[in-house]
Amino acid sequence: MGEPAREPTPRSADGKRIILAGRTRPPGHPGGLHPRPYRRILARAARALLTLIGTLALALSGTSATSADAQGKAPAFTHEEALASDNGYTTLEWDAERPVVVRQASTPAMSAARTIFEGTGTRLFVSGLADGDYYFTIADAAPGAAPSPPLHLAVTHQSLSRALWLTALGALVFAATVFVLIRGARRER
Amino acid sequence: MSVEQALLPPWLGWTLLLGFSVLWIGLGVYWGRRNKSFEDHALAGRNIGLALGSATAAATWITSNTTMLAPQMALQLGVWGMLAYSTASLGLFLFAPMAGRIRQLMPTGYTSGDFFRLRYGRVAWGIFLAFTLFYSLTWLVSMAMAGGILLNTLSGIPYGWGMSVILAVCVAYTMRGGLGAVIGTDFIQSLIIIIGIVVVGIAVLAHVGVEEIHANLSRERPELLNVLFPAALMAIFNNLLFGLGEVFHNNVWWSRAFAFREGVAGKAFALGGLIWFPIPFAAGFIALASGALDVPVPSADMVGPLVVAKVLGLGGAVGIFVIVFCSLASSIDSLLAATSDLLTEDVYRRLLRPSASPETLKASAQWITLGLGLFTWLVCLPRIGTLASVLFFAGPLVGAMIWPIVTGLYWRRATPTGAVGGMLLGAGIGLVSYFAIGFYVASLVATAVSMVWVLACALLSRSRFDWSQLREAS
Repeated sequence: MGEPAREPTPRSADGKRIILAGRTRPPGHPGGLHPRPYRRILARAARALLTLIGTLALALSGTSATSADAQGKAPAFTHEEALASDNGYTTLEWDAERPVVVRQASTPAMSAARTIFEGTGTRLFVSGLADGDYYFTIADAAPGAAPSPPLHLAVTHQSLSRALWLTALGALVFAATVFVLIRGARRER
Repeated sequence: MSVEQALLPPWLGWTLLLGFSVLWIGLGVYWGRRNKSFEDHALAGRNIGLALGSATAAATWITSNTTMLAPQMALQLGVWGMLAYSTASLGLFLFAPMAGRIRQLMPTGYTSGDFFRLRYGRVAWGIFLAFTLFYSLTWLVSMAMAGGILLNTLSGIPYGWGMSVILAVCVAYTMRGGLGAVIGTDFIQSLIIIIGIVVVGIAVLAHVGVEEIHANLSRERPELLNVLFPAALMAIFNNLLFGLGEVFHNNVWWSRAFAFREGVAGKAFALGGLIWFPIPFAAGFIALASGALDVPVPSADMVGPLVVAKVLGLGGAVGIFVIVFCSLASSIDSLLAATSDLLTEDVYRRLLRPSASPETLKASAQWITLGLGLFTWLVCLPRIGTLASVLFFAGPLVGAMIWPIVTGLYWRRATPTGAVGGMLLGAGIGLVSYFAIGFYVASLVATAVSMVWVLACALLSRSRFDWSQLREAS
């Protein structure tokens, strides 16, 4: 995954490039095909067979026509709805075959946006975000490419008072455990 | 940079994997030559010294979680996340005095199950066995699954092959060498892990300064430095109590307490905790440097390897592969050995064949190790990702066992009613809170409920336990 888009190359099931007969050897090459009729027919048949194998291999290896189609599409986030987080982190995911640029801003107009990812890939983990609204766009890394509509992430951290109460309860339980252990160990001596 | 490509070429991954596999199996066969009885196999003749004891305590606790999840927690929960993860070392520190007490009360004991059976009776023993087997098997499955996934991510080795090889290697040397082989390999593995993490930490610091990391975090991930980060605050004591419960109840640790030479156990666990304590900080620091080093992170659990590969290149990728492999092996072998001993002693010997000879018990332990390996392999093969997350359900179960164990070791007035009620109520309410509130409170709630019940029963109890009853285990 993550390779830049290029002409789909027939590949076998193990991902190796399939070399099609007649294409890799120039005419007149010592090992090339002689232009006799029966040999031409054989060569065409072999070419057709190899093309068929290549197509099957493409299907088996998952490099289907669908992804080939996707190469023409602009990169886009896969999230169907706006994101929400109560701990300041989330994972952005997108569909893209070419290098992309992901930008982050605090307004939907993407003013003062900064680039947080540039390259190939389909996911990015973002964390450490404070309470607030965040907007992300994705665009093809090629110059002049239009960005996607902004994806909204709302960060509202959990209740601090509940966190502090639970921390106090934890400290109490831990202190009691240590007390019983130390007292027991001392008595043992 | 494509963040989803393997860090190592598969041929190099295979070479490393096969090289270390041969080494561990060879050592297992060598160390297993002297094992004649079940005691030799399960408890290494009860003669483990301080150096091996400290190393095995630290190495067993350095799982793939330590090298992968500690950076993840730092990246998710910041500085508090690193601290929360490092609190797991308190489990080892606090088990140090308990280990001495266990050796004193049960000089001929074999498993933590022996303690529950003799101290609280068969009902508490049955509940304990159900809880601990759930925990141990889910931990084993999650480790083996993590092994396959990590080897695949790091070197492109197919998941099924990576998982199968690492599991087969651990089963082979654990079967052949027993606890002695597990502890011996742990010693080498702990040295490799510690040296590796120190080298990586120094390399990261050579590439980027602390001030630069701080400035990057303040600008781009401010919450990671926030002292009042709610989720991180809640994680601190929940993680701490989860760690305490894991160490206090599990036969991985009890078997070591029985295996260490007289007077060694306390020091070994304290030293092991001391060795382990800085590792989550070092691993977490690596994650916090990812922003300053401009390393894009596709998923939080991969931050460690990605930063190391960026800083150290191919050498770093080889290093992280070796560290991960050693971390996985040192935990999988310990779990296999401790769980097979528990099943051999508590189920086969106590329930099925009370008159089995030491040689028969040793052979049974070996077959059970193989069975556990096959079971784990079958469960892991379909690669059901959500299965590993079942381990989080174990948090309330192990938290609920802390107070029955601690009071059972030190208080004559601790009762079976307290232990049974504490485990059931604590685990039940803890699981409810897991779903009602979140994972970050489940262990805490379970421990608190169990504590209240155990304390109430002990205060109301008129019975006083006779410690000599624990000496019957043999």
